[in-house]
Amino acid sequence: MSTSLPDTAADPFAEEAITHLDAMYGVACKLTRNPTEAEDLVQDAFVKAMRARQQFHAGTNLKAWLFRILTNTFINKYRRGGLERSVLDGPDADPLADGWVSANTMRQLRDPEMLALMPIVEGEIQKALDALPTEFRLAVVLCDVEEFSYEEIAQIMGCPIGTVMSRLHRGRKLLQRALYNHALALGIVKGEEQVGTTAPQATKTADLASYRARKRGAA
Amino acid sequence: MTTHDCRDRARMLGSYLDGELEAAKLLEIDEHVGDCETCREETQLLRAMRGSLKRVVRMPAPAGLRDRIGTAMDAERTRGDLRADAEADAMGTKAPLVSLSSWRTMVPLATAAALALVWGAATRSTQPGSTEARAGFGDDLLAELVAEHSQPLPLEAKDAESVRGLERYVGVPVRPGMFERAGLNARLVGARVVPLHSQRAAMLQYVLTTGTDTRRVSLIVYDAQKIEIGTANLTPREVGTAEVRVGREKGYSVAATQRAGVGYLVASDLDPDKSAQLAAAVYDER
Repeated sequence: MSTSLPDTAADPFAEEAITHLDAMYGVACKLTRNPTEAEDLVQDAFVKAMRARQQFHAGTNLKAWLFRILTNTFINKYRRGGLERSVLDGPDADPLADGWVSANTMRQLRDPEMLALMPIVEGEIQKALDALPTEFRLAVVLCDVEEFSYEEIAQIMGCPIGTVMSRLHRGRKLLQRALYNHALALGIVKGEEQVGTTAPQATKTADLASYRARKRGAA
Repeated sequence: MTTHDCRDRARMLGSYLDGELEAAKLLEIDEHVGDCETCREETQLLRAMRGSLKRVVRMPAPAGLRDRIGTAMDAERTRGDLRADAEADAMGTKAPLVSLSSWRTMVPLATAAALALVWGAATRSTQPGSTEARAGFGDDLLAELVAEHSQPLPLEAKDAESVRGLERYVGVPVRPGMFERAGLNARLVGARVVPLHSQRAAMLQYVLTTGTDTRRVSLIVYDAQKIEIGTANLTPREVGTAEVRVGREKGYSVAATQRAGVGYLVASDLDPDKSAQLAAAVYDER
């Protein structure tokens, strides 16, 4: 059992694991926000996977298992103890009201006219994504980019599915707001009165306040 | 539909798009999105953002990373196999270890045959020292070094010029004839870059002939300023003017020395005195 040939091609586990390298690297870049650290993180994760390979059950989802190792390695090595704290410090203190922009504005945000501005918009999404708290960023990337199921994301991040859903929702809302603010600054969309820091109408204020109260009560 | 309904449903739009809603809710939201312009626009915006996110996040790993990780995984598997062997040995469930599959390809057959004999002897001799070997297992360095020595990866550099060329990967001079001036009959088989404490180091493999006795010796050359080795399991010793640290791991002996910021580690199946002399010989050469 111990005398297998020393090259990756002879090892089905290593061979299959390495097919997820690009995905792991992309997510690691988003986690660390630093390509060099991302390389180290990915290498650490693969070496750990190799060490723990006996714990992997053949036939189950190797990709999700690898991402769980990647996430844990990141938390332990690069942000020891930092993840939970930043949830509390995150922008949850100011949750966005749902439906905060009109259909018209949202249409403008994704309009074909915007295609010409795509590089700018995507640069802005990149920046907005980097500015998200880690757990929102990770949830959004695992879901929207790597297309993991909620259950898989819950396993990867070690949290309940309900937490995954709320991180996704809040992360996406923050991205929308960043995009909207950017589009507003560029003059692509017109401002909307009830948005963000602008003075809302009286009825909207009541709605927003009761919404927040309900949310806090539920949490 | 009123705004109030939309707010209640807005959180579900994400799950709706993610395909995570149960059938009844899915139909309800589907119908609502058909009726409500705001929610329809929101779903389309979410879809558009998802496309953008994919373009922004997905990027191929740098060219060298795949190879580096492949090497690191190989080394880790070798270590894992060694641990498994050690456990099997301890339980007495395993046949004597004769692991020459990769090494055999590098040395002439006659030498290989002689080596297999030596190896068998070395393997048997691990039994009395097994407690000692286990004690050293906590130190990654010894395990790493012995793993590289006992189950070497295929060699990358087999001629003097390409061995010297390893310098650019490890950041310190790598010379083919590390043992030459000590008057030892050490023939270089080849060399390669190996991971050592998550950094790169060069490993040179020699066949050392003394009379009719043929042994193989691995020498790891590393940048001592970048890689700090734990010396907890190594005993200091003076050989001539050289300061050497010596230890044992799994029946192999290990000797470490440093000079001018360059670290040298010798692993062999010789006794610790001989390994210490080898490490000192490297020292004297410089």
